[in-house]
Amino acid sequence: MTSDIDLDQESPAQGQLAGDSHQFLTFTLQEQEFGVEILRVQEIKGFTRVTPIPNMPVCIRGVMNLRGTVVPIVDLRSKFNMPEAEYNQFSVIIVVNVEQKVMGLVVDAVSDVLNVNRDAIEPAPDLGQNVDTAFITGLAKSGDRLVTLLNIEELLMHDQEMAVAS
Amino acid sequence: MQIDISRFRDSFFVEAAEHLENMEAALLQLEGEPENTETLNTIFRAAHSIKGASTTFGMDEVGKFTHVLENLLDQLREGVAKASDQLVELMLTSVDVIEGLLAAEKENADPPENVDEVISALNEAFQAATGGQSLDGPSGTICKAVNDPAKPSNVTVYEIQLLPSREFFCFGQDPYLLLRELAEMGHLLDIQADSSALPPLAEMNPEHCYLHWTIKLQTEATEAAIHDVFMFVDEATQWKVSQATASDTPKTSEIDSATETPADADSESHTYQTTPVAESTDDSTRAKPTTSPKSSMRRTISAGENETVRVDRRRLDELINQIGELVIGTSMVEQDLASFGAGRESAAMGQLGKIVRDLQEMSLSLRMVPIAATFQKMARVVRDVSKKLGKEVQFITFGDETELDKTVVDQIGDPLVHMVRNAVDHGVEMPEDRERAGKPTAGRVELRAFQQGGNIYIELQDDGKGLNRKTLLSKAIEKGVIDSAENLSDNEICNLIFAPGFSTAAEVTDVSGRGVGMDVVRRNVEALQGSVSIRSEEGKGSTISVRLPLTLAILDGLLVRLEHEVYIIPLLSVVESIRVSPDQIKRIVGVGEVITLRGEVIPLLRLHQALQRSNGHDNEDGLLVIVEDQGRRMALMVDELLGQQQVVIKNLETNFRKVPGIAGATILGDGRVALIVDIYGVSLMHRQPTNGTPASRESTSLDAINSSTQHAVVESNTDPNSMTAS
Repeated sequence: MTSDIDLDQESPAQGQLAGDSHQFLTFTLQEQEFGVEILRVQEIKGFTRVTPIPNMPVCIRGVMNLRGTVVPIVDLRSKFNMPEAEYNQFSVIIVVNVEQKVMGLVVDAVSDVLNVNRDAIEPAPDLGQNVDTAFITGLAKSGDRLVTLLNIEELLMHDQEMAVAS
Repeated sequence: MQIDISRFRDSFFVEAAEHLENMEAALLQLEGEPENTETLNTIFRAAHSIKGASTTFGMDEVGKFTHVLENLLDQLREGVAKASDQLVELMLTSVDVIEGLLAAEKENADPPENVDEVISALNEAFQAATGGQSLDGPSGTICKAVNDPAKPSNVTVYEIQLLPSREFFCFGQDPYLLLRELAEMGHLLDIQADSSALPPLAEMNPEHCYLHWTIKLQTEATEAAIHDVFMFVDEATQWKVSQATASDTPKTSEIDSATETPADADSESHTYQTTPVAESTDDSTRAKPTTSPKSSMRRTISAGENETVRVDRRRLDELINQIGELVIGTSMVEQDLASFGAGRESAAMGQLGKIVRDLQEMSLSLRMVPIAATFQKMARVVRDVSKKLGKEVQFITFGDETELDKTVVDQIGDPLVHMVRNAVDHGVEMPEDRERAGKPTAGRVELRAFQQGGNIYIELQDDGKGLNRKTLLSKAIEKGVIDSAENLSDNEICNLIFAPGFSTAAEVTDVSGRGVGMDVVRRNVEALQGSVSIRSEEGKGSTISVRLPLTLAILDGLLVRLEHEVYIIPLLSVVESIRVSPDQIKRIVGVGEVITLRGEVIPLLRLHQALQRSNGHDNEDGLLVIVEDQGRRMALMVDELLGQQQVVIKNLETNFRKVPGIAGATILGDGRVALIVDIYGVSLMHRQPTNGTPASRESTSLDAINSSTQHAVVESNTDPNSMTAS
């Protein structure tokens, strides 16, 4: 079983010290790298049993028990229209705090923490009207890696399909 | 010295609300027995507390208003004025105004509009009271003193020693306010501060009070009135009031000694008489002197008796939650142990389990409060509404001490107000009509609370005109609530009043009848996992019965399996469970599948179709759970019954959103999350297969497919499912 890593203690301090540079927790989905702002991340958990919720969009995998709290789990693969994957012990749930709600994101694997300077973030490319890029903060380059930085508030709270706030 | 008192504000509002509640209750009581001094004292105490505290918090509007009210109350206590119906009415309005003022302070909103109006009414009443008794002996009131300067006055010089406790400031008290209040009572001859207790600067705690004061006050007020000034200082603070003679020889009276009457007033002080009077003639907010020794109000601290501790609600909820987790955690350990080695650990584990269950029970009882306060509010509603409508109503409550979860008590208030208003407005007839019908002129409205099993019942009974079936039916058809009167039982007709947009009042009154009343009641009660029904006999009256769960935190559930998932059906809705063979399931076009149970046709809902994403699943077992929601029965098809269990309810909205058909979630003994079925929501999904519930309007295509297949099954017989069933 994957052990839980608690980021609660160190993350806020580091995030504040960084000043103009922001820290992102990066993870992979279908070989692609994504990043979420580390201040939003509460903890990282191994994949556990998820109870499906009826009549929900496919990307809402269900709810899990996080020490007594019922936490909804969002499948980012299906959210981004990627092929479904078999979840195993290497799959990871990133538990995030968004607008006072606790939610989990299922991802393939967590990579590392990336320091990104604000001016090193490139805006999301305009992919035409058919592609919604509202939940992409921008792209960050680190060496030869290209990381898509996600705006999870936009992704989880204001997205039509998720409609969590409703 | 500046103390941050803002953190006490919240508790002030809570306390003030309690004081207002007490005041209202006492006022209603006073209406019946206007001579009861104890009741008057209660009202006075409450008003005085609010005044004192609000002034401390800088809410001058509240302070000023309460002061005016207090003046009037003082007259009543004195027996100078009688607590007439008008006065009680006025004071009840004042309670509302104070409530409004406090709310305005709390939310930074506008104060109520009628403040000035009520203040002047209070002042008028006060003038009337004091003016009407000018020959009544030496009661030292402003007007009398001015009108009648020839009367010998009771001006006395008191020596007052104030020995504040060290923590004086920490209680949000200010010696200056006390001194000012004393100064308002008369003429301050001398104030001396004793600073001898001041420690060296290095050792001084700036939050402590080291000063003592000796005050010489010349006033017409009685000693009791002076004691009143110190009514709300903290327990450790001491004060002494003694009468000083002209030669300054104090005639000490200990704090606890009986109050002396001002009969032995110092006549020498006659020369001062005009000074305080002149000062205070236009100052109607000045503290009132009193003469009656029995009105002496001293704070009595009855320690040890029913002591309570105020705890933040959230903390309490957290504690209860955590204990709920402990229960789950314990049963997880129990299962683990059982899987290691059979039975050997059971003694210790059993004991632990018992302790944990006791703990949970205890924790839940922490949140239980009697419903008395809510019933009290209803007394006021009955009174106001019946006065307004010119009806006579006798209001009786039973079972005030019945305890309910605080959350339930908080939320049942509004629906109850609706119900009570309706009972008085629509139920009870006008006195003359009652007389014609051979009933006593005064209507009778009874509010009862009692516990039965795991439920609390609140019943509201009136002996009014009852429900007219014909009017109800024609109204319901007119409003489109029902299509025709056919097939409705008498009971169902009565319960039509809970349908949305239904109101039987011929015309809309400002008391009730906006057509939102009873269906709102039903919604609110159902939100509390309760139910509401009405029994009525025409001409004899109606009884509305509200069933509520004892607590919202725990639910008795029937665990059922649907494919691989466990769902929980609230046991309260479960009527029975049966097994049927496929050929017992009939298909009716436009209704869907039904079964016939002992002659009753019950719609059937394949729960896995309504709840699961997959619907390529066949139930050959035909295991049905018959549930009842608002008198309607429904058969839910499930895969397996797993047993009964008490579950701790977790809200899905906390981290997610409302899910149609799901009332909440819980965590099972093995740590899994299981969803609780919302019977009402599921029945809605069944009734409108194409729309689903309003909440799922923006549902996904998958959802749409789901429901359209369901629809297709009903309309045509091409679906494979229907083949097996028919």
